[in-house]
Amino acid sequence: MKANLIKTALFGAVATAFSLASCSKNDGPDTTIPEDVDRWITVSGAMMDEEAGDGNGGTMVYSVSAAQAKDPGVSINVFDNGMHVKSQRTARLQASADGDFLYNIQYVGDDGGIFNKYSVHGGKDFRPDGPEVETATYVSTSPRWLKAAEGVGVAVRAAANDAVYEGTNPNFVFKYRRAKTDAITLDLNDPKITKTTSFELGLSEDEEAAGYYVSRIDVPVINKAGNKVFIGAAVNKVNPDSYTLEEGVPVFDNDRTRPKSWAKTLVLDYPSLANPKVITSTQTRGNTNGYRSTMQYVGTDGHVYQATSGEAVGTGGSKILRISTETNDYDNSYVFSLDQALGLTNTYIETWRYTGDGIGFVVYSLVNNAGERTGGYIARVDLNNKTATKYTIPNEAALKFRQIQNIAIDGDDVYIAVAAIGQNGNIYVFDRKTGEMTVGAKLVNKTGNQYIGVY
Amino acid sequence: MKLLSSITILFLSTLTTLAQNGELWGTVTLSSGQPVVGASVILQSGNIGTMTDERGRYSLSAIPFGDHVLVVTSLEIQPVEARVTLNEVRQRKNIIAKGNESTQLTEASVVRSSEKREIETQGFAVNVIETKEAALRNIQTNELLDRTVGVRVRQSGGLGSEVQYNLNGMTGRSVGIFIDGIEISTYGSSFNLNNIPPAMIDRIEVYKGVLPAHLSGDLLGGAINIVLKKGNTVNNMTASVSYGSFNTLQSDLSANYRNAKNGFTAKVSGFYTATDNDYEQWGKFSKYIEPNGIVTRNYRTKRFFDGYTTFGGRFELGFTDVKWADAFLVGYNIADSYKEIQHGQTMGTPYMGRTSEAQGHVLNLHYTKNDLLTQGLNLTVNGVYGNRNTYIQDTVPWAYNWDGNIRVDLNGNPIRRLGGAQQGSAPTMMDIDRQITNIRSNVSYDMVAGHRISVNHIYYTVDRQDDDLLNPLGDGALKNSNDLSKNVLSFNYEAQTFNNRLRTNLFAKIYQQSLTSIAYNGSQVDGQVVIIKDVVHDNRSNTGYGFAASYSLFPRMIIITSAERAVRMPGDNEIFGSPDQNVLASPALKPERSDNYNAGFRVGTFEFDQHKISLSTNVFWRNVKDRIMPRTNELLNNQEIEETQYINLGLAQSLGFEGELSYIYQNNLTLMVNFSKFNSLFKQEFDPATGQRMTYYNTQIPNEPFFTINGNAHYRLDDVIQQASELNLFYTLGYVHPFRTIWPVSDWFITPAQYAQNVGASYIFPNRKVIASLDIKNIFNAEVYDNFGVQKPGRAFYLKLNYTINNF
Repeated sequence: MKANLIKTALFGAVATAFSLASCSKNDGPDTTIPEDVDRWITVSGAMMDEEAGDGNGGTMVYSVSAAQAKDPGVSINVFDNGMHVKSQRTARLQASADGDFLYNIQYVGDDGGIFNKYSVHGGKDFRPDGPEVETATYVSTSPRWLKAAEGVGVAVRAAANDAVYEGTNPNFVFKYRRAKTDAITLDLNDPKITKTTSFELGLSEDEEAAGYYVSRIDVPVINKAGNKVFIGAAVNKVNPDSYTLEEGVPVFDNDRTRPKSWAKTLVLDYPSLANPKVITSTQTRGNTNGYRSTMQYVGTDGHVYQATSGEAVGTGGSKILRISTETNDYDNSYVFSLDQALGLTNTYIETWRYTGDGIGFVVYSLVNNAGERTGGYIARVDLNNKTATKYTIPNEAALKFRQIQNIAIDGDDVYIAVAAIGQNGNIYVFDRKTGEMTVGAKLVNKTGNQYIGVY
Repeated sequence: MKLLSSITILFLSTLTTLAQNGELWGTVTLSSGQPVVGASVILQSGNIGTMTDERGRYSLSAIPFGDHVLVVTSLEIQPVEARVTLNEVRQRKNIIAKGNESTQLTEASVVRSSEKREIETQGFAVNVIETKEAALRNIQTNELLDRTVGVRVRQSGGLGSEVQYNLNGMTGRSVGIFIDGIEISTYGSSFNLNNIPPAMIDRIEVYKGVLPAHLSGDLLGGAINIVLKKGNTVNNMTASVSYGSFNTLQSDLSANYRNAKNGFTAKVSGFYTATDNDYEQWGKFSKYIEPNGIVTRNYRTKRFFDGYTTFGGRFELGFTDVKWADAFLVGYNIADSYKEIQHGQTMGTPYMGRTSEAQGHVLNLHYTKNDLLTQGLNLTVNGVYGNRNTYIQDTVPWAYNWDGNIRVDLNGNPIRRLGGAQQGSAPTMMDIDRQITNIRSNVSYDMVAGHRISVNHIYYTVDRQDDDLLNPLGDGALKNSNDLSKNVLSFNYEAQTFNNRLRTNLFAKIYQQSLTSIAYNGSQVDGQVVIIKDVVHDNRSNTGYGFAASYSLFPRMIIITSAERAVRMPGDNEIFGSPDQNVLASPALKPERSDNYNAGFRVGTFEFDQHKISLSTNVFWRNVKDRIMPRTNELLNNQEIEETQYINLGLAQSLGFEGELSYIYQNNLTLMVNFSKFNSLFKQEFDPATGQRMTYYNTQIPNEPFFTINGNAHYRLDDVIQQASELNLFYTLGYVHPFRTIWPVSDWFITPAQYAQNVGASYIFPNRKVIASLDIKNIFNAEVYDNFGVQKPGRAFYLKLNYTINNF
């Protein structure tokens, strides 16, 4: 009798324990993956972490054929059906031009800075290819990196050192602030590090004394001649006249009221990564480092075209600048103003893609007076004639492209993933020559998540 | 207070009128110090008699002054007659009896569980861990805790490394650790659960969720209270030394002395531990990296910089069981530790040369008196002043590989770490001094039998001084500082009603905290430096309340339930921000709140024939609101430096179930199994921006082990090899269910199922003075993980010798 009671109680305990484990699996409509595909189109999506749209919860990828990507009758749901790309937070994905390989450097976490290569086989079938490569020791667990030329990755990192000052507590005088800068090159075909460099990056004496310093670098690209690598930069400023005595040493205040720095780019020799040099354009006061996606391309004419962003409100919005193929310095006579070309103010280029012959597709937002970026828009730009045509896409005001990582190009087709955070959307396909826009496959979304790239 | 003093006066006058009679009280113990329970104590000259309670205490009141003879009898002991002359209002007479050899041990084991049971049936979700057995074996306090139902200890490496405690899914600042009810931070990191040997501990109480009033902290998830040995019943001295794998040496010594005549009491204890922790690891995060970055995983290697040395002592002098105090003790506690830090939270990057040293000097004053001034009025005061120092050194600039060598680059040159140090952005020689004052006072009053009210007050203040020895500032240099002090006042009403079948405990707590931030801002005006001192005060208070109840349905079945609204006050960094870490001030920050509910029952111990069985379960529910968490400021352009601000956000809920079953056969075999299963759920249902339902609503929050099972078996053999000796055999099994470490489903980010099995044996020599123990941990050399993919040691052997002298 007593033993029975205990048996019953135990059974109840175990039953409760298991019923507490919730189990849910949601398989949405799937797409049949064809065999023998010439060109895979891979779609990536970023999941939310704590807050909707933060994009920090990791990256999912899924591949379909180019024909499927263009077919509005096809549904793609990377979040339920895709593969999770190894990375504690959102992966920094790149792909080979033919779409056969994906490259990633994991972002933060125990394996932050680990490079992984995957071959693409359709659907959620991505297979590790070659060894893993650790880059964290050279460029941190959160490196900024891109495929800088076919088969070559460049990963960079700049972190501002503490300000250098003179004087004794509490009478301090600011001297300068410089950035410890590191860069490496990666062989993407046979994964390994091929070159490394490290140096302290400063600006001109006047700029340094005024408090300007390089705070971040990103978006490396190798020039046409293959002898230079251009790396975009963000320049910040402290107020050298104002500080607080944290731990008895001065922490100089950030200065957002005085003019931003002129646009700057770090130039290194390639492949030696030697002779660091900063070039300056006086065409705009903005940053050239973008955010997680490519901002500069080698044009058909051999010049490098570089988009800027982060210009202060009312100072003319984003530009596209030119770095001359002859001098490897800014061609200060050239500037493309998106504001002027579209007849708008305070445009902000989130990313763009140069598609050949002076034509490009720009994804941009509009900065309001409070300094917030609003909406998401797409325009086709002609860099030679300095004109632009805006497309009309549904729900533009609700779109956000802050986290966009890639625009794909295959033949004449340009692919952009368009979906508001947490809402369904579509792949949009543009003809690079005619500019014609068609609506492609449907993108199935989940709360707080976003589609961030097509490869 | 007014009420209290008038009651005091009232009772004082009653006392004087009764002065011709007195009360005789004391304890009945065996010569070993074991209390004798249920013994009958009879006054030969009259019809007055009583029984001893579970601590062996008795009390006879209204006895006329003069000579008496006490007769003590029990199955367990040989009868005792003791003479006593009563000439005080309240006089103590302790009686030491000779045990009946045949029954002594059996009875003792029943007695041992009774204190544990006493606490465990007060209505709180509490587990009491007894250290008696562990003290004789090669077991650390943390290991003991890790086997406790609902407790998960996550350590970032070997012995001595940083520890996080997870109670039913709550962790970090939500969980408090106390020593005798005093926050452990008072003692500093040199005196903590890593190095306090079980031999110094009487018991450990683990409260889940709801906290009793005497452990008042602003904690949401519960508390672990370490009750150090009081040991004032019998004079004894014990010493032990243990040596084992990874060059681990552990020793401790303790002695208690009490002069029976004048009550003078001295207690001394000390410990010394040293280990290399150079155990082998081979998990997937054990990586070897070539100069060109190519990674070899599952690299089998030994940890090379994880050593730990610590020593400490505790000295207490005073008087116990005297007229004016049950205990008055002045103590001094010293502890020192040195730890090599092998890696950060994860083991991806090995460190070399990063060390932390800690030292703590703590003075404490302890006073308790029951029946102070009047019967039923009890006072306890515990005042602690701690002066603790922490020193972190990290000046080695080189990057290391897991083979223990400096990494080289493509040209064969050694690689420097990006920050010039093993961890962080710059070399460090940071010396931090803290002065902590912590005073805990408790006054309780038994209004009538079974009804007690109490007031508990805690005052805590800390003064912190940081010195960067790499950039010495000199005296008088201006620097920003934050000061903190807090008060927690709690009121308690405990009642035993319905024939003592219902025990209830109602409580309310008032939390008050004062923060002062002093910031010095400098600016250049016309080439002159102008310094402005900016002082900001923040004063806030909050209230929490709750109740606990237990009801004895049948004599051997007790239902237990408790509920609390707990709060966690925001910290100074969270309110004032910290410019050097790009944290903005957040003056409007609210405290984090949690509603905690527990319900469970305890059944047993049932005995039939040679079998004894008992079972306990607990269901719990925690609902956390206004979680304090950092958030990136959305308004700022993301190309600028990322500034964060602490905000109140989101909801989390945890719902779980735990149980424990124990079985004893013939008092020789003991089997125990427990399990804990909970779901920590993400409870934000809708996205505030779009109103859409959240994808992870109601799903398990990642990176928390949520299902664990522990089992152990103990078998006792008498008279092995030698007559009157005792051999104990032990086996323990720990299981941790696989758990995800990130939200998305990904094989890579799953900590796999873990099974750890340990065996041990201890042999008690016939003279009962010497005990030898052998333990083999992780016998199958399993790959066992702890904190964020940090591998724990494989198979390890330890041998320990204990020596005890009683009654000197």
